[in-house]
Amino acid sequence: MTLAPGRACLTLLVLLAVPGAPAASGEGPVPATYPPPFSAADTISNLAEIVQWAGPGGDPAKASEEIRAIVADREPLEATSWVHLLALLGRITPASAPLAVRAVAYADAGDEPAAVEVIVDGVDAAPEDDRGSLLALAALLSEAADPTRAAELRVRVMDEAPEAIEIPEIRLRHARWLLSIDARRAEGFRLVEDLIVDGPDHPIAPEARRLLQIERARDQGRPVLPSTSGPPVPNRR
Amino acid sequence: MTHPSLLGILAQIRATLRRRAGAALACTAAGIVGLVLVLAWFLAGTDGWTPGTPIPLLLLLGGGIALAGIGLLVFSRLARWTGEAGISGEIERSAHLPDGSVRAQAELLTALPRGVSGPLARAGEGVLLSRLQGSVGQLAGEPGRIVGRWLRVAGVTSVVAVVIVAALVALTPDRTRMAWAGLTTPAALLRPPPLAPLELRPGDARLPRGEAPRVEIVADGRDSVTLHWQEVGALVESRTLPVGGGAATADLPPLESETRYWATAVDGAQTGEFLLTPVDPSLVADLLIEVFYPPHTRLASELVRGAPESLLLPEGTTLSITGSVEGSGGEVSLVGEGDAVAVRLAVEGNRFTGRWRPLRSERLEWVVSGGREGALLPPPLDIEIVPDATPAIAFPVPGADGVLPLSLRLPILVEATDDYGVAWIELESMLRGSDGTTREPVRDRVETGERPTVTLRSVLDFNAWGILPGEEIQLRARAADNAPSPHIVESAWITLRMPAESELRELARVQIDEAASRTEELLDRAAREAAEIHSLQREEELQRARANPSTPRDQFEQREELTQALERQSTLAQDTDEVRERLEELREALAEEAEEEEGAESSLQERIEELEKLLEEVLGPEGRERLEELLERLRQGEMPQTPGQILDEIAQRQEEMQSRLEQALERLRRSALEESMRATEEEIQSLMETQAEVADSLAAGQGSETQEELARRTESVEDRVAQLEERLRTGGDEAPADRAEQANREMAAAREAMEEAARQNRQGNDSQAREEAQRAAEELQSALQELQEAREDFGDDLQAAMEEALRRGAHNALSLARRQGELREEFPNAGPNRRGEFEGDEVALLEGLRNLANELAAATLQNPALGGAISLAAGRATEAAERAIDGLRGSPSVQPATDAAAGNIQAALQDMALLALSGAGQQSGGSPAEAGASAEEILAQMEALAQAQQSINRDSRALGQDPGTDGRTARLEELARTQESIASSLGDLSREPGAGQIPGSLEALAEEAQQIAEELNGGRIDGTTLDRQDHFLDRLLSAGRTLERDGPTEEREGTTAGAVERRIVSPLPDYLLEVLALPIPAPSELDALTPGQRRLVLDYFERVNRRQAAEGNP
Repeated sequence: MTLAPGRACLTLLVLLAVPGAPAASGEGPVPATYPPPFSAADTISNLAEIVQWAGPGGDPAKASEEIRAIVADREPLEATSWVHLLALLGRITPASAPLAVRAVAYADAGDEPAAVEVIVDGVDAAPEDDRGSLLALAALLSEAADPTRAAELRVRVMDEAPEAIEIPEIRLRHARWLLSIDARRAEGFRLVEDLIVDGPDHPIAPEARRLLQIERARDQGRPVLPSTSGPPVPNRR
Repeated sequence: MTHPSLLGILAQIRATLRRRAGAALACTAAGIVGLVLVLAWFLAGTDGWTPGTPIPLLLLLGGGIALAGIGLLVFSRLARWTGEAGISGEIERSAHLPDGSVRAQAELLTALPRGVSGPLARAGEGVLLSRLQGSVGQLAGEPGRIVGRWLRVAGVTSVVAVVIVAALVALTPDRTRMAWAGLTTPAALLRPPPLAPLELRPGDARLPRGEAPRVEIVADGRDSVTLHWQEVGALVESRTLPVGGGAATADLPPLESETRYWATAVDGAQTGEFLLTPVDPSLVADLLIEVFYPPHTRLASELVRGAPESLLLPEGTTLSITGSVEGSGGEVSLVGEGDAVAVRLAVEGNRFTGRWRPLRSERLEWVVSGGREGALLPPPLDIEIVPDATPAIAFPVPGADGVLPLSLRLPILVEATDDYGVAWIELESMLRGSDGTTREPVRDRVETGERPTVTLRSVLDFNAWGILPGEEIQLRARAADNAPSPHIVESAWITLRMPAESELRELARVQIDEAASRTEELLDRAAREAAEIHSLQREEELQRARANPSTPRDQFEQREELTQALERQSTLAQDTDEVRERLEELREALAEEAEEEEGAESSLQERIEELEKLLEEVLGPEGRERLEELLERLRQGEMPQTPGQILDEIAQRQEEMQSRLEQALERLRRSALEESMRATEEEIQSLMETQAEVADSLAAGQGSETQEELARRTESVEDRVAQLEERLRTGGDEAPADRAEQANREMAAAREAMEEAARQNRQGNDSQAREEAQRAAEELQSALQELQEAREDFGDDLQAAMEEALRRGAHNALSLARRQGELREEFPNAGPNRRGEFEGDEVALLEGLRNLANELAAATLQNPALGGAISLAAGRATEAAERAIDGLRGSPSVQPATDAAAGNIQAALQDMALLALSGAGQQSGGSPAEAGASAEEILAQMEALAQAQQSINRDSRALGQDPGTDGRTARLEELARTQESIASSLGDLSREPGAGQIPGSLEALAEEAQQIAEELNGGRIDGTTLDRQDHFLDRLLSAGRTLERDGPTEEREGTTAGAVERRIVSPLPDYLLEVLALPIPAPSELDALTPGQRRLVLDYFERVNRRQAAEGNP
């Protein structure tokens, strides 16, 4: 993955200049006053400032505006995590916001392990209501780079925040992972079936049905058809 | 052919003969049974066996004897043929061996005599066997041939018999059953049928005295019968009569006194006893009374022959009387009480005639002067005149006083009955003003065709009457019968009031409650129907799994089941429409009220409109169209898809309907609850106002009774508040429920204070009474505030739920976008097997997209502009997904196009997420419906509008660049609708108090948006329109930014920053240092500018630096 100059610049700025998350360890520059009366950088898309605007005592609307600007500049493939961040900032407390911003910035720079570590290191100090969403973010960011780590994080999300907004996606991804392990296929099938039964009209339900269809066909040595109707699943609603 | 042993040959021949003979005997038996059955069918005839017939018994005996005979013959022959001598002889003859050679060898082998060498005997057997050539059948000789022939003949016979029997059963099942049933009960059929009972005529009779009565006895199947009779006081006499033609007749002696008579037969049959009574001749003969009923009865005239003893006559009936007098009569008349002559009949010769209309009920005696001596007068005539009844009228609908329906269309039901006919029904309506004055009544008369029972159902439309709140409509119904002098009857007046605004609101509450209950019923029905469809699906899957080819009958049944399922779905949708129409009526009435009462609250109307929309979405126009199309094709006998596919479609639609009904029900319940809270608040407000007046009265030493009455009212309001609390808790709204509980406590305190005030007043402590009354008023005030806050909390909960739904939708959109991204990345590197699966993955994604669109549509009902923008983005994503699927189905060369489509899906999904997030921000900022939005709230709403406008602009551009797009007109219309929604939302915002802070007029922006919408509506989407849209978006953004930046920002508090974690820090690349080649102005210079100007300057510097960095020109 090649980085656009602007993106690298933004990422490095956040790594170098942003005041850390509440529980972050290590040392870093601490501004004398916050916010400064005016900084030339505040009108340029600047992740360091996003962290400050999104953080405690900041200006969430401004943070949101800046993130939207970043989204507008990105290709769809690269913009999703930023839109996720935007969605997340509306739900978590400002105290947890810097963690999320930094994690997305690391992931945007192609350093998913660092993104995950930022969250994992800081999540225990974050308010309890925010932990599920932060861990879910970490799980999603580590999905491609470290599937095992992602699975651990998903289990943690499902245990600690079963009502989190991300749970359906987390369950589906976890089911897909379980189904890739011969010894845990039954568990995977159960998870995906429960997912369909719990939300037959959920936007990811068709994808779950498709997964079930593919995996059952695979078990039976049948070819997989393009149809998504899949095997019948009882409607417990 | 050689044989192993001689004894073996003998045994084989014996067994063969026995087996064949047995089979032949069985076939013969079958043939005989068949013959008996066929004969029985022929002999029984079409009417079955007649009782007494011996034929079935003979047939059975014949069959049995024939079978037994054949059996005996076979056994005797078989015994001879299968004896050792018989078989040996046949073998010897067949093999041309010397006589006795086989038998001798057989005996030698069976019992070897002493001194005979065994090997020698076996050697002899060997020699013999070497000479025995041919099969066992051939060696069996003549018996073998006889048995073989017999077996063939018997076999063919039995087959023919079976075929005939089967044909008889198939072709004439009833006749066959009757015929063969007789064979099962031959003995019962031997019994002859019983004879018919005797009949004696004329039975009991009154005959002229002196006449010899002729008696007839019907005696089928007998040769003779005996007639017995006995006059009163005489001995019984008998006479035996011959029967000819099934009957015997006899004349009894002339009848002078009452005579009993009966008949008997030799078979023991006997009739009952009858009585002949002699009657003396009448003085009046050939009496004929013709009754002419009055025309309104519409009864035909009747003839009465002879002298009736009574007549029941409707009022107005005329009698025409004719007859003759036995002998020479002088005068005939009918005389009533007191010898008053009712009618005198003119006599000419011995004939009399007359016409008379009886006026009253009375008993009349016949009076005849002259006539034959000894003849009797006819019995007295009782005339009863039935007066014409007054019609009855009922007015069951509306039935009682009440309020006019909101639609001002009043359904009525009038029922009128009369003994002969109702001529007309009239409705009289009158408007009565609030000051008591009345307008000229309006009468509508309906001719009813003179039917005895008339039901009039109609709807009176008072919309044109201009009725004002507080005015009344008075109604009554009137009916008249069809008598010459009609009787008219009237119902009581029914008064229907035009509800005042508060009553209208109360009615609205009731109707919302009713709509909620009705929706709950519909939801139950939908759930049952879903279960039914699932059961059909399972059945269909089982059938498919069995892979049986379906017959035309199966196909017909499947089509019928599908048609019925679709019809039930259609009925459910129609019933939902009915609920919606009621709400629409209610809203229109509220709107009319609002027009008349300036400043009337419109939020209730808006809520009802929202509920209507939810109910309208239960099936939606597209679903309705598709359902009707499927239904039509199935009704025409077509099967547009496989049954499984149609069932899947029905099931999916059912699930969607169920889910939308659930949403609608939830909203209806919430609305009903909110309205109940408002109603209770109004009650408490009213209590407070009255309490203030009562407090003044108490100070003047009066009003204890009023105070007590008020305490009772307060108690009933307490109950309502308690109910509200319970409903809130049941719905999980704990915070508002707690407030309601607190309000209830305060209501209780207010009531106690009122009771105390009344007590003090009665004891003459006026000042204390006043204090208590004031305390009660204060408690009421607190309760009111508490309840108002509870309602606000409740409303906040709803806003929170909407916000949550939008955030959830945003996350789900992202989830799909992420999945699309993964597929897009995976596709180029996937192996051929995996590539084949991509189409299915994209189809799943498309289905997920549709679910998402539904989810977000439900969440944006309160915000049409946002909903429209999301719908546009969803449309873009759907189109791109369809293109991607088409691409995957095509050749690999279209991969770039597929990749582009996948990118577009992701972009559109991200737009949906962004729009939903904007909406969520707007929800948390408050809805436009709520009065007094702050600048921040307006900002949030404008942000959402800008996002929506951005989406519209993008779509407009795409549509403008590709004029040949499929469904262009429909998409343009959708764009125009969304643009109009934005205009409308801006119009709403411009009326908010916080809107004044926005420089430039929001109204002007709204107008601009409306003009763009009109251009789109006109099908215009050229460069000018696109520029105008861009310009409009800039203005919208500028307005929002100005609102955000101008003036002091909200309070900011500095926080001590934590330490930064240092990880993977790379050195800054050179170009990052180069980008600052053009230095940004110093903060001190920028501080002088407004925030908007600062942004423009800094944007400019940033762009210049970026471009230079990219070109490598510092």
